[in-house]
Amino acid sequence: MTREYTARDVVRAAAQQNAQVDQELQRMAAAEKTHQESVTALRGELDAAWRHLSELMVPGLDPAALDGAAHALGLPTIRTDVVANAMNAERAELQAAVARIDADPLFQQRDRKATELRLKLEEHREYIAPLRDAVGALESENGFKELVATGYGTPAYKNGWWNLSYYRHWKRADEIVETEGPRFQATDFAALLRRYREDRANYDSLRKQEADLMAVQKRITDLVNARQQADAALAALPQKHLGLVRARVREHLQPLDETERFKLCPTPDLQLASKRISGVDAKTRYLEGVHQEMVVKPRAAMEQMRAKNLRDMQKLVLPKNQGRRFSDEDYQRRFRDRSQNWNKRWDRYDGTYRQIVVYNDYHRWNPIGDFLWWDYMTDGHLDGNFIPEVNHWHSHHPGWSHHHDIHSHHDDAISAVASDRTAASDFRDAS
Amino acid sequence: MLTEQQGCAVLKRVFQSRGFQVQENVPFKEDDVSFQADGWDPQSRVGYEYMTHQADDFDDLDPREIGRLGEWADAGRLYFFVIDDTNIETVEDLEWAANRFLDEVVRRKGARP
Repeated sequence: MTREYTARDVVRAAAQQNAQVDQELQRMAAAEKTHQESVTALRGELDAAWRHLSELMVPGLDPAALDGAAHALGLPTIRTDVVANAMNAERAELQAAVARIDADPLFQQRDRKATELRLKLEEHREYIAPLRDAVGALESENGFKELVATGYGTPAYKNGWWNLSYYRHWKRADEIVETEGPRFQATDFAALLRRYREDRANYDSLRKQEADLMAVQKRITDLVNARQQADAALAALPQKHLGLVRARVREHLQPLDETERFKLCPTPDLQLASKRISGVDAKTRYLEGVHQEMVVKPRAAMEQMRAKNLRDMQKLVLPKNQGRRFSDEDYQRRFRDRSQNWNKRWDRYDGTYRQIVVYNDYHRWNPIGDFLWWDYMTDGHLDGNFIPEVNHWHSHHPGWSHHHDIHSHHDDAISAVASDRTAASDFRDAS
Repeated sequence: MLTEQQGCAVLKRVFQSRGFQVQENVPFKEDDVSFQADGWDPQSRVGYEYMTHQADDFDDLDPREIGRLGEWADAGRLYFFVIDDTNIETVEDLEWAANRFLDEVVRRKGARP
């Protein structure tokens, strides 16, 4: 007799399966984080590899290095005369800036001026402080600004004596005189206003002078900074232009495919640097492919499984579904233990990933372009046909055996490049 | 802040305590000025008008008319205390102002009502 399962059995199994799925999703999230770190590290490695290649191609700014590289790469913008012109123009600009600063009287007398300004500012601030306190206290008195605006205490005051506001102003003015009069030695509002206006004018004038002095102080600081920056820029000029030349070399080489680039690398150190770029680039692509296949795709399936289980857990607890029965076949198909398969996938992922990450035999790259990094990195033991690049290569090389063909193939390739090299001159010698 | 009603009560009390026979809400008309006066002693020709937007007083008594009342006060023809400032915080403030106004009226008229 075939066993049947109740709705309650299915709900319990779905909950158990989701607990496993949650663990699996957590593991995938951790793998995602590690993968992103690896990709970032590889980008840094690739950048360093490019830097190394461009440094080897242009070791310095001497004419032999520049003209040799320009000729070999077909890159006239790094010729000695072009680079020297750019550098001389920039040097002339910087020297002119230095000369302008040196000729500025303010810069010439900067130390004496700075001391003078400091003392003057201290003196100004001694005068400003009591004025600021007095003027500030009066201006913060309630109604004072209104009295000033209406011209109270002056012939300009127009409020008639039959208006209430006339009396309110009168009362407020008396109160202010009582509070602030002694400080301004004033016994009525008109006198207080006169003294206030004198103090306010003095305060504004001193503040303006203070601002002028501070502007001169700032101009001295700016001149000193500009002079230091110009000196530093002059000292760094050769290094800067060398950096620009190397960046141009990289820009020139980057769009080329690895075989074309290799042809422009006549010496063993350049060749190895070029191979490293090729290998690190391939590593990045492969890790992305492996991660997509073994983490990203299964994660989507896991999330679907989890969502379906959640839906059923909600649906099957409803009274109308309590009586539903499920066949053993359906139950097993859905809830069989998948943990073994999942662990196998993780083993494969970890093994493949590690093998690619640790690979550093970049010298093994085969220069004739008929080469698959995947087979070298995995020693031909791992199936990478889920990666389009690997699949494409294998479909165009039916019967290819990594172990059998690799050595003879490598020898052929070296010969091929040796004959190609006659087309690309050794730019070290060309100079 | 005093309402117009509270303010008018204060003014009536102060004006009466100074001997004025105040009539409330009386029509006032002289020459080209006419309005409903909040307080007016026709005998002494002394009164008050409380200007608030709430009571549409600014529509009833326009700036030209207020100017005319001022001219007449300066000329000693009649004296209206115009409450042009509605930000009156306390009763004491208004009492003080009304008494100062009436002091000036008495000084100008040369005699009490």
